[in-house]
Amino acid sequence: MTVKPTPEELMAYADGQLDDAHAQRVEHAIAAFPELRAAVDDHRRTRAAAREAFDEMAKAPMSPGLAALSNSLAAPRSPAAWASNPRSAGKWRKQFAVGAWPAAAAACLFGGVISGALLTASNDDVIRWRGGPSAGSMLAQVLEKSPSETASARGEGQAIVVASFTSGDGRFCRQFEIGGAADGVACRGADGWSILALAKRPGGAGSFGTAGGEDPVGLAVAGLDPGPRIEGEAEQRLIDRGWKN
Amino acid sequence: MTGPDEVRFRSELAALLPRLRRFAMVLTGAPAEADDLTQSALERALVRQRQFTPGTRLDSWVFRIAQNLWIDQLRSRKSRGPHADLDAAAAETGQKDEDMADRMDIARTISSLPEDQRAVVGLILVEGWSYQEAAAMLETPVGTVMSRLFRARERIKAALAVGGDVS
Repeated sequence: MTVKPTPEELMAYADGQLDDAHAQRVEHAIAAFPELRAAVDDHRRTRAAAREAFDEMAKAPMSPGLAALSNSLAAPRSPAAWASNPRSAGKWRKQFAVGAWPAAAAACLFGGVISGALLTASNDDVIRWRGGPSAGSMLAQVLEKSPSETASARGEGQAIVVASFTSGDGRFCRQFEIGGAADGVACRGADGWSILALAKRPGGAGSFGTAGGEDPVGLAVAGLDPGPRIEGEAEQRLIDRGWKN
Repeated sequence: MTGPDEVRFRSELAALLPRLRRFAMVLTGAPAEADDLTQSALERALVRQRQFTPGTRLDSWVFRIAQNLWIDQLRSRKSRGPHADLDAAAAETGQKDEDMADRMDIARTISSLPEDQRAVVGLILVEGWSYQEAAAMLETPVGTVMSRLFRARERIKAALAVGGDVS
């Protein structure tokens, strides 16, 4: 006796998602109950219609920023320079320069992580904090001592380092995350770490910072002309030596 | 990741960009937002490339980045407005025939679906991922993915019926 497939089985059949034996059972059922054929056809029509609709929309020209990124990805180039594109440096610098990041809001979000930091725009395409993370702060310790991606606590306000690299001008830099709420990049100078960019992720507390599509940290990293990632033993050696070669 | 690996990583990102952008259009329903989302996802992929596990699917990893970024963006908004940008898209593609109007109607219908349904439509119907792959990317059981897809299709089917009556 042929069992009628469920509506979802028919859909899966129409989408080619069933294994051969299962698909065969559905085909037998369709032969026995021809009215099921209409449902399969409907599913195929909706699939084709959805695809065509967005194929159409995708004909729209790319935004200048995406087009530039697309070109930069496709062009063979030095592995060091990534994500640099003309969209944004000016745009996000301006966004921050007009005070979209009040120090009070930053202090509220980052609490004890970075105390007393004031944001200033400089003329080298990154945002600088006046002063580094205060000595002894959690972020300073993480930047100085933690290997990439191994911080055990990832709760609110906890920082982890996601990548270490050398900047084009020879500094050691580290990209970090704070409690899933913000991303940043900092570089080591003679007297410690200074934060070059810090961006709240969309969705965190206190809406300021990145508008849709902005990635100031990625752009700041790109502006540093990063060299190859420093990982594993090489990273550990630098940690052990206080970030001196 | 250095040298040839990084060059390959970048060229693979370039190759998947059109699909990622189309998926972003399904999610956002607005070309300008879709391009911003696509760009953000690619930039994040570049910055985090050492977190990518070689030998696994890069496209799946980047689509997941885009999906997560989009969810983050939605959470940061109080509410979502209507998708007026779809009309701008129609204007930009420079076509205004009836078929085009029908396709825009379908796009509009899909853009008005609940967020979770839109994601499965984007992944499965538009981009051709399997149910299992979509479920893994959305970290959702396959059965849930199927029921969302089924409900979404009911709406698309209704829109197709209306479009058919008009023309």
